[in-house]
Amino acid sequence: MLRAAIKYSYVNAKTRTMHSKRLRPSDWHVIEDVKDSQGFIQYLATTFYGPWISPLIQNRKVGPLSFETRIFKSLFHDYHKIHHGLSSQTSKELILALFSRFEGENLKIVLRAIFSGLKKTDVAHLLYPVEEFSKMRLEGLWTQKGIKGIVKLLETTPFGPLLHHALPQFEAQGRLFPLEMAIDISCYRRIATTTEALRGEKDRKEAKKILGSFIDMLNISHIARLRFIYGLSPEEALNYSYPGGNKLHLKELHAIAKAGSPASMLKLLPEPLKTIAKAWEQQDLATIRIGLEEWVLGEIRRAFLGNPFHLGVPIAHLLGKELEIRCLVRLYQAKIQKMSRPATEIVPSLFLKGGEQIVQAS
Amino acid sequence: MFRPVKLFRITIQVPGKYISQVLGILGDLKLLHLININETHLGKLGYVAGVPADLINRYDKVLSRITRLLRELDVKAPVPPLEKAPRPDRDIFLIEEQVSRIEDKVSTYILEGKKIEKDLAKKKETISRLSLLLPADVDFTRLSQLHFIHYSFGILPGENLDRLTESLSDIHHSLVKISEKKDRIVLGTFCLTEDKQVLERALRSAFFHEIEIPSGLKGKVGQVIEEMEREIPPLEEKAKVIRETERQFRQRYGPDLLLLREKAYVAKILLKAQAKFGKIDHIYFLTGWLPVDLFEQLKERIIKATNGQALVDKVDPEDIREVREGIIKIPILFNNPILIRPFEKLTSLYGTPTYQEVEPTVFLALSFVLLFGMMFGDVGHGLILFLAGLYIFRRLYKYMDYGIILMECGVSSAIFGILYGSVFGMEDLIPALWLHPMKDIDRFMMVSAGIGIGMISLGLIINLVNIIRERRFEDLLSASGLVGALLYWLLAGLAIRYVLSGPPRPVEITIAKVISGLLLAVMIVERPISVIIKRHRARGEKVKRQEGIATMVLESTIEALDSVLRFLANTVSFVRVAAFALTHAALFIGVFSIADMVSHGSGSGLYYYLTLVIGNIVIILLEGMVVSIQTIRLEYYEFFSKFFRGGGQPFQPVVSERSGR
Repeated sequence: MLRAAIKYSYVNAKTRTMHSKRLRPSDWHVIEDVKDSQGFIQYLATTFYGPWISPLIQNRKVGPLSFETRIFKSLFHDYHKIHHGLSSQTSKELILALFSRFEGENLKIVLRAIFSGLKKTDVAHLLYPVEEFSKMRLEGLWTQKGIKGIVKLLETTPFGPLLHHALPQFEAQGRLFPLEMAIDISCYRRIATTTEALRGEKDRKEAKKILGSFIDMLNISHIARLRFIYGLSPEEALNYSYPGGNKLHLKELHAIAKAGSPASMLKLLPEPLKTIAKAWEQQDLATIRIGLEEWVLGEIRRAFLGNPFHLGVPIAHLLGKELEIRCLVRLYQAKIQKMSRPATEIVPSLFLKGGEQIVQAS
Repeated sequence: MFRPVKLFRITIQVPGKYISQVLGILGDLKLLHLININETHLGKLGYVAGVPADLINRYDKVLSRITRLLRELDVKAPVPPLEKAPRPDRDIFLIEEQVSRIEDKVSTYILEGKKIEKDLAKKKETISRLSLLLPADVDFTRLSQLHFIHYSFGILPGENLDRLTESLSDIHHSLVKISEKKDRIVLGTFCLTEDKQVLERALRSAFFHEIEIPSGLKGKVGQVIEEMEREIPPLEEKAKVIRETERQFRQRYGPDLLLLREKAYVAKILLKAQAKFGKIDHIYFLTGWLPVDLFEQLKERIIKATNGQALVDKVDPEDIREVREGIIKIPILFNNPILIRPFEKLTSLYGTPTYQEVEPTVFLALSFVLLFGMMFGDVGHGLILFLAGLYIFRRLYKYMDYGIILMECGVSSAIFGILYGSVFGMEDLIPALWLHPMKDIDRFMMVSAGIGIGMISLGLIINLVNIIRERRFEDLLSASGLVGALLYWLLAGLAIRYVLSGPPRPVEITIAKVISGLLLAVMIVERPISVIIKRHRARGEKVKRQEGIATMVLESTIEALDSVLRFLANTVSFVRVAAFALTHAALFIGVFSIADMVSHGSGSGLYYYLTLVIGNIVIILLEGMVVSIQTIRLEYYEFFSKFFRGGGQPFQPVVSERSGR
């Protein structure tokens, strides 16, 4: 315990400082009530997101994409701080693995652009601003004429091996889908491997719990999307699922992949998800996603209770903030499109109402 | 040598039907700097000729055919010089015909060669793929008899095996691990024919890479591989014959193809140059700059080629008003002997001199070689630099100029090596004809400063010549003109007098004080007075807010003092010549000391010599680079800054020696 306290006191204090600056229910209520996207940005600029958002007010270039890339910068800033504050190399590796999801997203955009014959300038606004923290440089990729060249160039990166395996499928199918899946799976496989490699028992347990819940959430919505939107078969949906789940392992994933509808899929979920999911049975996929986020947020909040000296706290903060930002982006897009959906269908109520009672309920 | 080549501005008027002949002649002469018609009155009125797009297109096509042939035959010879420039409109037929002839002869072999290479590669690839199945001793005859079972072989990422197995749990299947290597598993997959699609979907999503098995294979995989391996030697023999034929073709047609490519390139350049021509009805107008010596030859050839229907006129640049007023610049064509010519690049790097300025390459070349030799004086090192330069000169055509510079620097180093008595740092092999830098430091530094005074004086003289040539007489009274030069020489004279025969007498000092005071006063008042005169002349004209006389006097005073300080700093800067010569000698001492230590430590004499060799290589590379940089620095900052104004236009011939490459 003493060792853990020494090891984590600094990063814990740092994380809690960052965590305390997150949006409060009162902020969410204001954001929910503002009439348009301008007001949305203007209010958000008064919060912790101010330094990243305020240039949008000054330049008057308020579009969903520039908003998204800017607001994510604040999350990458936290990644940088937490990575810097951690002393253990294996913990740092896990933070990098978590971060690699954003590098992977950028990589997918580059692949799509090159595949469609677009230039860097055409998609630059879509790329996550990862330069501050990432060591991966995408510049070299733009000089490549084909996808094969890019895969060759990425050989030595964590994405390399699986991309190499997926290349024949890309060539056979003539579409980027296998490569995109390979990038995603590479990221989550890296997260699972680095989580297993954590030295401390407590660290490993907490990290697995939080990340496992997060991956469970992703897998449910990912499989549902693959099955019911893209029309893939159960075996394909299973093979494209992400490793490292907490409640959903191969058997459970296969079972839900075989479900014929979203409603029957929810019935096949293991406990406690099954009980929680009863409330979502009549909902569409988007609302189910919100419900899942609600559940993950509960798990994330739990990490801040009890013994604070473990890696679960910084991971919980990063994932919680990521969810917060994704909700803000969704809400902002709804404001731009003047959607009349209530905020509870866009943002988990844990954010809107404050989370204490929900943590206990879950 | 001290001036660029004298040029005439020429104008050619030629009927359209003869334009191609004229282009050929211009290509032959290689020394016409075309003036874009758009820059002239004619161009501004819209009488621009334009380029013959169809013909250029034909040249593009033929060029791409030639390039393909050169690539396929792997021709890598230096580009031959063109004896005669092509006549674009006529020569296209000849070039196309010749290329077609070569294609007819060569294409069949190239295609056959490609096919054999492809077959060979395919066979080898199949063997390598089938070898993966060897551990399972797969029997293709038995596999072909399976009617209700679907099977496939392939490679699977090892970490995907569990999820693949789970995804297939609802169908009858079998996954047979044949071998495992790193993160890959060679897998045999089997299922009922009715479940084929499920298996294929699962394999596809697990990134399974199927090994293609050619149809109709019989027997065990080992036997199949053996049979295939037997087919390889005859194919390789065929490929060898084809390669030999290609080699013969390369020898026979390679030079022709290179020449054709060069002709096509030059023809294309000439055609594109037509964009700079003017045209009224069917008459073409060409205008440009040509060396005076070539004018008669050009005129004679054009008149002859056009049966006297062309007009070729010349105008002396002095007679052109725009040139006199500086609106049009005369391009600079350097005119230096072969040993000086490579240094033109260094001059151009600093800037292009104007037509009236002294062309300084010869001074730069001589002083560069002298300073380099002084700083890098060693017979052995000089010899190595010379040999390196010779190698570059003979083997690397593209860098020939640098080879010449290196050879000249090598000779200079060797000469100074003799003067210093140094051979690879050993100072006891030959006697020093002049001095040992390490033993006679004071004298060496004084000589360096003396060289500095000489070079700066030369710079000041060149500047005076430039002032006179450019008729900027008011500059004579400035710090950079005659007055500044006189002040410098006065101070330098005093310094030399002090070094040679001791302190000057009081009367000499008094005279020097009076003269230098007067010169400084002239430098200070020169600008304000000239401004007052100008204002007096411009009386009555409406002018904007003007600078006060007091401010100008203050500025002039600072400028004059700054000039004096710069003269001093520039001269002292040359002491670095001695400093780097000493560094060169000191590095030798260092290398010999390390060699001694190493040989004592290891007890072997071999290491002593090895250290010497490595040390010398390091000195040549490191010190060679440093000395080059320092020499260039002295040339640019201390010497060129005294006179070089630049801003000239480089001469760009329509067709140059290397335009095709």
